[in-house]
Amino acid sequence: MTELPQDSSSDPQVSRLYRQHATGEPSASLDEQILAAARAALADQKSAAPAPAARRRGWWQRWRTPLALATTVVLSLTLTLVQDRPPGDGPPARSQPLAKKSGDDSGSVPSLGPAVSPVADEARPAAALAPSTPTEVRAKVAPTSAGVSEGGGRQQAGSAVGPLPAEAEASRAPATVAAPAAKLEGRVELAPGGRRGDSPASPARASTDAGVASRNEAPGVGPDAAAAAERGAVAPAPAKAVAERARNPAIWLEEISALRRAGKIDDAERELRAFRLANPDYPLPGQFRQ
Amino acid sequence: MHGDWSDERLMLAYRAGDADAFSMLYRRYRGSLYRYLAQQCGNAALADELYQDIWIKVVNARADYQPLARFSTWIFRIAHHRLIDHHRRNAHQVAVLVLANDCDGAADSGDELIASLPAPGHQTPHALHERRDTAERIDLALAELPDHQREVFLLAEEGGLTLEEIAATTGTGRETTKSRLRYALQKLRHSLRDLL
Repeated sequence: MTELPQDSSSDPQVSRLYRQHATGEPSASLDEQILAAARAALADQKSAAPAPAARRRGWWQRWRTPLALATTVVLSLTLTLVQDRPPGDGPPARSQPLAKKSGDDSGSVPSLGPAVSPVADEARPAAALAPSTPTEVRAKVAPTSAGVSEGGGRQQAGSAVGPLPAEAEASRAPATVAAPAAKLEGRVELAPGGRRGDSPASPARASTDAGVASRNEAPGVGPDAAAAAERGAVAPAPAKAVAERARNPAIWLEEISALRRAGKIDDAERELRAFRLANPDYPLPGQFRQ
Repeated sequence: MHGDWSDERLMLAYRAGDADAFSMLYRRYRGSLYRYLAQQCGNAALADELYQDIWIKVVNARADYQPLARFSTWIFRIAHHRLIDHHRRNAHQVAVLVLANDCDGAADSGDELIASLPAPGHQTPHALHERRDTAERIDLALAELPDHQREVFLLAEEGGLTLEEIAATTGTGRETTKSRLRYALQKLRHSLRDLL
């Protein structure tokens, strides 16, 4: 028998004897319980595994609303800055006040835009079907020229003709008269006198009739007086230009022809020059080329 | 597949969801851990209870497991603390353990007090007459060891821990552990001298 050294921390003989005869192990049922518990813990862990995916979805759900709000704010600011231009800077900014003004002031140019189209469209077929004569023009124009220089006269003319639509007037008048009348109305709405129309209901027609009368057949009122009346018409230059542009060339030429037939050669020449300025590319009929 | 894996790798694999890794790990430590507990508490039913609690602790602590030390050190440290908790619930043994811990500097002086305590019932001289094989002799020799000496010896033999690892597991100094182990070996050698 060997003695263990005093300072030794191991004894191979004792260790070997112990390991050879060591007994004792857990029961099989205990092993199963522990292994089942370990597997159950893993199953619980796997069932909770979708948590990261939920967190990823949660990230998007959490930031979706702030991102949408931020995008909306940025877009709103961008649109505001784009549309916030000084007046007169662009066509949209200018057309809006003009259109608004047309409801208040019938003499203003913007009223020509919407008002011209129906009347001019109505007059165009009439001009094609029924040639006008000076007498017919006079018959239509003369009654409305009574109060040319006065606003009341214009109102009177407006009240006599204005509220009625062109179709109704044409139905009352003979066909030969109705057509030129409609043509004149369609053109005269674009005339300078029409810029000062007063009637809200039919401002263009009232003022147009007055303007045509003042230029054509007012008794005691010559072409100079009509020109002076035109000059007296307070209209801004851009508005006049817009009116010239908006004037229907065919109706305009028809009016010039009527002036010629009526013997208003100077007026016809002046209108023709204005026509050429406004429509330099428009092919003139043969009667206007000499 | 897992046979050549280290204990730490198996535990990490189990943490990642590999149940087979835990089975392998369990097979490696089931006998040693159980014998450690059985020799320490001297009661089979209590050993079963403690054994199951320790493995449940291992399972529940898998998420926090870090291979900073050997797995054997980690699991036997859990077993040591579980035994401490068990002893604290029994006032009589708690007093003994506290007295022993306070005497760590003079561990040898407390060995006589611990050695004077009666051995478990199934390891009394009367039961020793009924068991005549060597295993019973070894068990009796271990039971006659003081708790701290027996624990150090079991940690070294069953857990394969070094002196440093035993010291870390039991919360004592290396020299104290070495001294306890030396005394345990001397006593076992003396008790089992006819078998060596």
